[in-house]
Amino acid sequence: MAEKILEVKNLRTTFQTLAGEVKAVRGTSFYVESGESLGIVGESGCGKSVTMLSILHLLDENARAEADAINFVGQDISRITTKEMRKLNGYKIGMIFQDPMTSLNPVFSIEQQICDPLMRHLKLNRPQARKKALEMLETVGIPSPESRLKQYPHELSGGLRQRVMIAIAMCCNPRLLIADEPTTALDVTVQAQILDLMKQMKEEYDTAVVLISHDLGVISSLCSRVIVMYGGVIVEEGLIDDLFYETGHPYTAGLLRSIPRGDGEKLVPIDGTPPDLLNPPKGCPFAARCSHAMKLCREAMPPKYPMNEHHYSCCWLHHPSVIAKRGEAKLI
Amino acid sequence: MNTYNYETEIPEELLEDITEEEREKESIDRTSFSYWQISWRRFKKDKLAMGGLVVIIVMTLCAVIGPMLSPYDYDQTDFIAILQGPSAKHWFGTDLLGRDVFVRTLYGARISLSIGFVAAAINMVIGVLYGGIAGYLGGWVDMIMMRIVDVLSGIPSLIYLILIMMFMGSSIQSILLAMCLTYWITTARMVRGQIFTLREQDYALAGKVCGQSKWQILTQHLIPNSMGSIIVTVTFLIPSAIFEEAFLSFLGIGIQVPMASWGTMCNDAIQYLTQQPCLMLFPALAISITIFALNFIGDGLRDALDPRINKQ
Amino acid sequence: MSKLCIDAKDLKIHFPLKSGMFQKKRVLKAVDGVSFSIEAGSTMGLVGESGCGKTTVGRSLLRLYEIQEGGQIIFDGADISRFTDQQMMPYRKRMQMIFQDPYTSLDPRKTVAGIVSEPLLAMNIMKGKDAQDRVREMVELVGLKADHLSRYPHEFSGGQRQRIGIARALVANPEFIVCDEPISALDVSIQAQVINILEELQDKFGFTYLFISHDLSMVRHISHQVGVMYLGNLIEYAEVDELYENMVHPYTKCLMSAVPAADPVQNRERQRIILQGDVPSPIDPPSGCPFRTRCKYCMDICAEKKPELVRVNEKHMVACHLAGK
Repeated sequence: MAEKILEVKNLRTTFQTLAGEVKAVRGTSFYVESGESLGIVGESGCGKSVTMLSILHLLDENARAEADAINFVGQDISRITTKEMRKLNGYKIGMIFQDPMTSLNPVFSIEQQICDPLMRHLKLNRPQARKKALEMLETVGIPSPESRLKQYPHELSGGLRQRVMIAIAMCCNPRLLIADEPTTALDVTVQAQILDLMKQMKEEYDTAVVLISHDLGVISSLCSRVIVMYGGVIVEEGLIDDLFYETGHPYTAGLLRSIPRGDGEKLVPIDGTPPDLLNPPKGCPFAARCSHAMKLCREAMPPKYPMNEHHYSCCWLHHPSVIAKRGEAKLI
Repeated sequence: MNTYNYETEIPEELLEDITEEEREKESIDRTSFSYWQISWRRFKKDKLAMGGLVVIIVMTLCAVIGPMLSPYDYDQTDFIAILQGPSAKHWFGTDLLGRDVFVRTLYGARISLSIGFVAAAINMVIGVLYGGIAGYLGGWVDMIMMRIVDVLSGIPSLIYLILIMMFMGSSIQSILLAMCLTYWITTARMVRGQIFTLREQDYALAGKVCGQSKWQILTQHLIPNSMGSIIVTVTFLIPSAIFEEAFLSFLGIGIQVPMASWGTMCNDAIQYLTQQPCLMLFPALAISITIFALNFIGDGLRDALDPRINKQ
Repeated sequence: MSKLCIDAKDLKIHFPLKSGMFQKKRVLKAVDGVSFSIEAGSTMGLVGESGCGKTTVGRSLLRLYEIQEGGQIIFDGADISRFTDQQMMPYRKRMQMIFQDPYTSLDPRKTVAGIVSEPLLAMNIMKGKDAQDRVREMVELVGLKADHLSRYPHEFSGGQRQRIGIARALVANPEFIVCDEPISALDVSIQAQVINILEELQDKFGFTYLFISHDLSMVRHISHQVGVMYLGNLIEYAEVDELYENMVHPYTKCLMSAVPAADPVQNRERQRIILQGDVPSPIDPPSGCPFRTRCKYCMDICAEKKPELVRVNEKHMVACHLAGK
């Protein structure tokens, strides 16, 4: 079995706002194995980005993250200082964000931005760093890298900027690459290019990838294992095929049903809106929108129900008493 | 609370479907707050700004009520008690002519505060209209209107302040008029900039799709949405108007004796600085406290109304 | 054949760019000669990548831009392309728009009631009690509650906001609605809600939609005909099933194949055509065929002559020199 390079235990993140305390992440536990690609799906506000930002210590000041443990390659990073974390970010952990324009610094040239982590983390000197930067730009498929080095972010198109981001994220050969909605701001043809590149980089460098996205299509074209988040908790986790074909949670099933299949059938939306995490529901967060919901679902949070070795779902429908009374629920 | 898991039995009644009411799919739990209510809550949290607000309110109340309760008048002289220090009889002491400094400071507050607020209010109206029209119409109208502004702001304000004072005589009205000639320029430029960005917003376009006229879009969408920034700019105009008045009066071309203004009082006091420093101390302190308080309020408002941090 | 709701003929929208005193005047050819027509009660989908001019087409149909370069827009038999704001007034209530971003298209200082009643008040359709009743009716029609009327937009989620936008668009009972990427800012579970509302309302009231989107699978789901745009040009235009089954233009093929399927098995089996490079700038478009710089079938003629939109069959038109060969 592959080594677990990241293991998060019971992560809780809250935000202080004027309206009160928003419980954005309410106890998530998961792991990432070396070399695998894990997808995190969920709608906006479900806590998928906040989870990763909490792990990386990149939250705003009004947020507080607590965890029983966050083990990254044998080191507990849940309580280390921001300064120690900075040594890991961009070195052992690479990051790509949704909008490359805001994550690249507009006043530095591409060369400076790629060379900076190389010189800081790998202790290369300028010419070495430059040589490595050129190699990286070539690897990520940027035409005429020599001239691109001197350019500034605003001179590049969205697709090229995202390629530069990938070059920066991968240049120190990280163990883990976290990509938060990396293709959401891009057009479909460019999205296809970037997904292809990420797949290629993952194989070439044997890096584990965590891909956060709301798009099941993006997730299914890159990831081997998927976590589904809803209302600040993980509601289902499993290998990609299990999740799509042996769906264990009504929310996942609802997501799959609301995508058009191209057969002209009427779409089946999930009615309603996600819960307000200022006052999260006591029971299952999805109960208010779930067509299978029972009184029980509003009373108690469903525990993990193992569907197979890698696949579990947090839903009361799998409880023996429920099956005895209502029969096996048909989710898909 | 009961805890259930996959091993425990679950009571029969909990296995019933939930009712439609219990779903409350579209319900919103949070209480409804308008932009102004949210901003006020944020403002209340700012201790310095709230302190400033209290100081200004107290000062305004004193300026309005104080002189009515005092046994002295601002021009009532008492040649027996001149250049006195603070005492139970004269709280802030007396000046060269034996006038009560406390009462004169309160009268000064009347003048300073009213000049500050009136100048700011007039400038806000002119600035919003001028900047709003220039910003919304754009094109050559904007071009001409902004060049006029450039010319006006190019002339040193002191020159026409003094000219107006010479022609109209020194009075509150002429000070106000002089200030109104230039102060609105800042507001107008700011409003124009705001309108320029806001009119590209989708809701302004939506207004057009809904059949609203340019005037309706300007008054219903653009100006209400730039109100936050307008208020901040205008709040910072108040202290500078107060300061300007004090400065003119200090130079002797503003408010004339025997009317009391903080500026004139400082001017009077300067000759007796060594004999009776209190004479200078109180009006100068009043100016400083007012200006500090107003600036704190302005800072607080900027934090509370800034659209960039105005997210819940 | 049923009545045409809107008929665009050789529509051109060029935006002049700010240039220095001694520089040559440059123009951005956002839309460069686009023709299509939509039958009353049907939906036309318009797809393309960002910057291809699809939003500009939608907005110009509502006359949000001056049409100076040429072309005609015929709405219900009247050529509205040169109408003044005054002349447009009676047509404003018959055509509406749903915006892409539910966060910027609702005025944050207005309550829901204020936002939805805007068209009624601005165009003097209804006043007072009548307007209030109509607003309540519309808000309930899109699945919100009457007690939401006094709330402000920031208190709603993205999907709820978009439904407020739909209520505003429908309140004046229009005939033609431009839906400018109405779902792209929404979550997957919410997208289907909005699409279903749009479909139900079309069945009920017979609306005509121009559905602009980059989501090809949603466009296939909701549209009757589809136009594909590239760099300001309509390059393929057909009935929906015809287009998705027998696409001709190389760009359309790339676009379709780039969409990741939400199905792991399909994804593994499918061979993708990955399009290289970026879209050229519309300020300085390539000569001849706009797609030739990225097209793997590029021939000499492509650089010399711009391909016209030609009929492949009854239901299908394409602008490519390869068509029919």
